[in-house]
Amino acid sequence: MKLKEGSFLWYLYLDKLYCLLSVRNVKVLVEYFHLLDVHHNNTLNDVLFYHFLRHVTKWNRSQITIVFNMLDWKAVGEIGFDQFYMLVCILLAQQNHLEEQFIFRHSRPVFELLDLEGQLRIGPENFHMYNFLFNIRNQELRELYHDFDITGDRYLNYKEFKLFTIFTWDKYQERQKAKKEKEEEKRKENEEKALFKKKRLSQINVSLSLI
Amino acid sequence: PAQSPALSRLDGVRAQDPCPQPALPLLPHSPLPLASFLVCGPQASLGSPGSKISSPDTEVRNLWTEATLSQSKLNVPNACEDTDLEGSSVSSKTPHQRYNGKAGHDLNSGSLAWDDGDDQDNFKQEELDDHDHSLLELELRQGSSQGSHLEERDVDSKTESEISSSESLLNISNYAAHEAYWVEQQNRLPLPLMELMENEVLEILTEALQSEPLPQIPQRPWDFAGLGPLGLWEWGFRVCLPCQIPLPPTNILGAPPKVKN
Repeated sequence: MKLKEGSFLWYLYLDKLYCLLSVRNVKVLVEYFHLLDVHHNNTLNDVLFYHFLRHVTKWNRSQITIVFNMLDWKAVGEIGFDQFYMLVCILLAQQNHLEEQFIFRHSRPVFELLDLEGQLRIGPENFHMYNFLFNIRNQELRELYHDFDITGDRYLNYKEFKLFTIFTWDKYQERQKAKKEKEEEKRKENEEKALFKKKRLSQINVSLSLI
Repeated sequence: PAQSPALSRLDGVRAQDPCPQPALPLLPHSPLPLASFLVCGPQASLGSPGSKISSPDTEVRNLWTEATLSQSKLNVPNACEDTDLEGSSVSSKTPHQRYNGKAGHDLNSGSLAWDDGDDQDNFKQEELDDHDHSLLELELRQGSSQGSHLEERDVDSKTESEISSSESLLNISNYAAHEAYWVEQQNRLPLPLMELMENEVLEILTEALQSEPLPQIPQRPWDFAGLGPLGLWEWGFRVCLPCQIPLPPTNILGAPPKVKN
């Protein structure tokens, strides 16, 4: 998922380490939220929420509804700034491909969001429903329940979920490390090629000057 | 643009004064003095803009901030050390704890040590001065003619409070350790981005207004009298009841109210 280029959220910067916005960005986001809140209730209702997400993302209606139901814990049909801030952080984490890091850093709020029924455990169907938010693929999901469902009840409690986040974070770091190494190798290769070309050119120049 | 009575009165004072005194620094595109934007912690910025203006004395943090700004030799970075940006330590400490922790060694002459009985008189005097200063700020912010307490006061008191606050601001800005923090606090959104934000919100609201009406949706078992789970609205994007915006039909069935422990 990509945020609409040039939209307001596109300009916000998410801290890559902590997956949070800076104070200044939060202040700006508060102003944005107050502008969207036309009824001055300090909340966004489902209509405004829908049009906001339709404007800044490419999500379809069912996805937006799923997200709204996830954020609207008390089923009052409105979300406050706290939920809005959470949503923006999730969107920016997606935009910057920091989903694993986001889940790791904010495992408790994410767990509570995914735990729709408030049973302090998450079933595979919930994970499946939100895989577009946190980029959890089906294969990973199967592995997740195979490896981390220690109690064997086909549900993940918070401790199991936390283990999963640590595991995905490790995997993410390994991937990043491998990517960096690959880039470094590529850079060295390019440098060598450039050096070789330079040498060849200087040799040709010398030979031409001799003629 | 029309100037507020409080500001024009202040300008009049400046014009009469033979020795021009340093005024409160103003932001480029805002009539408010810079002091009013100084907050000490992320929580202070999260409230709605109107709430701070309407009741500045009810918010303890605001009182503390305004009070400390008038301390000419205040060691501001130390005073703000415990307010880290993530807000973890802020939430765990009350303002009273902050005073207890800092007043003995951070603030000059212990004038703000609430627990010391000997310093009560000093503190009261400080509090009165701060109250004058906060009244001036309040009037500047409100920009209205109501409650003009400062009209009867001496002109010198105004200029003195201006000097003290501007001196303290200079002290604050000269301190390098927390420069980034103050810059972060004082900087406002660049104007093009503000315009972009407003335009985008306008587009979103227009889209919401122009959305089409939808046919009747059958009632749900938990829906009493068709008014939704709480008697206010129905699930799905059907109609915005507060503003009566009709919306396109949805094939998503509503969900029952969730129960979280």
